[in-house]
Amino acid sequence: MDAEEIYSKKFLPGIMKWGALLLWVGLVFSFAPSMYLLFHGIFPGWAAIGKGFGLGFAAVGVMWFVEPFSYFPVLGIPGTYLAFLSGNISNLKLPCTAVSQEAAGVEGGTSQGGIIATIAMVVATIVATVLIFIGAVGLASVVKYFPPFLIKATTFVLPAIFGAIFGQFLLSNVTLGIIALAIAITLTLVKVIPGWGILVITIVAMIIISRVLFQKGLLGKSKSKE
Amino acid sequence: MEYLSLANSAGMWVACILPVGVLILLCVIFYRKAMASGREMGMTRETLMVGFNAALISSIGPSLAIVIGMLALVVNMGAPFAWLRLSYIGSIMYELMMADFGAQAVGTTLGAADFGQKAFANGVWIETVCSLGWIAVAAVATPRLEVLRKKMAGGNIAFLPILTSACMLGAFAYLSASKILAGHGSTWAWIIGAVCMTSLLVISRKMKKTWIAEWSLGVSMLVAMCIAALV
Repeated sequence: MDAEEIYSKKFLPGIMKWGALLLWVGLVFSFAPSMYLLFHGIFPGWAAIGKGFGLGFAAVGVMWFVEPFSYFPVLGIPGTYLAFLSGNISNLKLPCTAVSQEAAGVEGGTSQGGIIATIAMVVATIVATVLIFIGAVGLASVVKYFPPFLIKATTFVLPAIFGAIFGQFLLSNVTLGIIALAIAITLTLVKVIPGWGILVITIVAMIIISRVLFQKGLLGKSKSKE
Repeated sequence: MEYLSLANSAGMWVACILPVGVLILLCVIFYRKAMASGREMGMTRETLMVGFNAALISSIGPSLAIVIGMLALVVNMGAPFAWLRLSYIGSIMYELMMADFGAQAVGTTLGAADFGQKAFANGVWIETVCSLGWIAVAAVATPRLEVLRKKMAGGNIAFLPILTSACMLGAFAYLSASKILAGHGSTWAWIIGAVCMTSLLVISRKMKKTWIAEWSLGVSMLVAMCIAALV
C-alpha cells in the first residue's frame, strides 16, 4: 500500500468509527453537571431553559452548520471530530495545526498533512485542558497580582494570532490572500450581511476563485492530473 | 452567593471530569492511530516529533490567553464548570454569552448581585444545550464532507492543498476583517503579528531551521501583543 492508501483505507475508517462514537458519548456526558445539580434537587425549570435556549439558538444556531462546513477543508476528518468536541478552534486549534504543518514541512489537505494535523490538535487539546485546569483552580487568587500591562496585552491576543496565521498562508499564496482579505473587509464594511454570512460567502468565493485560477494554471504547483 | 459552594464542590468536579475523560480518550485513540499510520506511510520519527513540538510550543500562548480571559466565568460559574466548558466545546465569548442568556431567562444578568442558584443552574443548562448542535453536526456530517471535498477537487489531487490554503485564507480573512477595522491596538497587533510571522517563516525556510518555525507563532503573538499594548 502507498501512503495515500494507508491514510484513506487504514487510518480514516478507524478515526471515523471512534470519532462518531465518542462524539455521541461526549454529547450525552456533557449533561453530567446538569444531572449533578438535578440530583441535588436544583432544576431551573423547562420554561427558563426554553427561554435561554431560544436566545442562545438565535445567537449561535447557524454556526452549528456554518463552522463545521467552513473549517472542514482545513481541519480534515480527524481534526473536525476533535475540534468540535474540544472547542477554541480559531484561536487555538487551527493556528497550532497550521504551524505544525509548516514546521514538519507537510501541506494541509494531503495525507501527511492530515497525520500532522491530528497530532497537533491532540497536543493542543491536552495542553489547553491542563493549563485551563491550573487556571481554574488557581486563577482567582493570583490574577490580582498581574501587572496591568499584561492584562492589557492579553486583550490583543486574537488580532495577534489572526494576523500571524493569515501572514503564514499569505506566504504560500499572495494572490489568493489579497483576494480573500478584500472580500472579507468589503463585506464587513458594508454591514448588511451578518457575520456568519460573511464567513460563508468568503469561503465559497475562495473555493470558486482558487479552482478557476488553478484550472487556468495560474496557481503555483499545478502538477499533471493523477 | 451560596450556590458557589455547590458549584465548587468535589461532586461538581467529578461531574466535570466525566465528559473531559471522553475527550481525553478520543485524544489518546487519535494520537496512537496518527503515530502508527504516519510511520507506516513512511514519515520519519523526526518529522512527527517536529509537528508534535511545534504544536506544544504554539499551544501554550493561546491557552494562557484563555486562562487570563476565563476569570469572569470562574467567578460566576465555579472553577470545575468553567474548566469543563473551556476545554470541552466552547470558547470564552460563547460561554459568557450563554451564561448570560441563562441568567436573563430567569430575570437577572451574569455577575449581578441577584445572580443566584437558579441563574447558575440555568447557565449550566444553556451552556450545555446550545453547544450540542456543533457536536451533532460534526458527528453526522464529517464523513460526507470528505466526499464533498474530493468532489470539489474534480479528481485532481494536486488541487486539494490549494483548496485548503484558499479556505484557510478565507476563514482567517473573515476573522481578521473586524480586528483590522477595529483600529488602534487591535489593528497594530494584526499587522505586527503578520509581519513578524512572515519574517520568521521566511528565515526558517531560507536557513532550513525548523525550530524557528516551531517558535514562530508563540514569538509573533508575544511581540504583537506587547507592542499593541504600548501604542
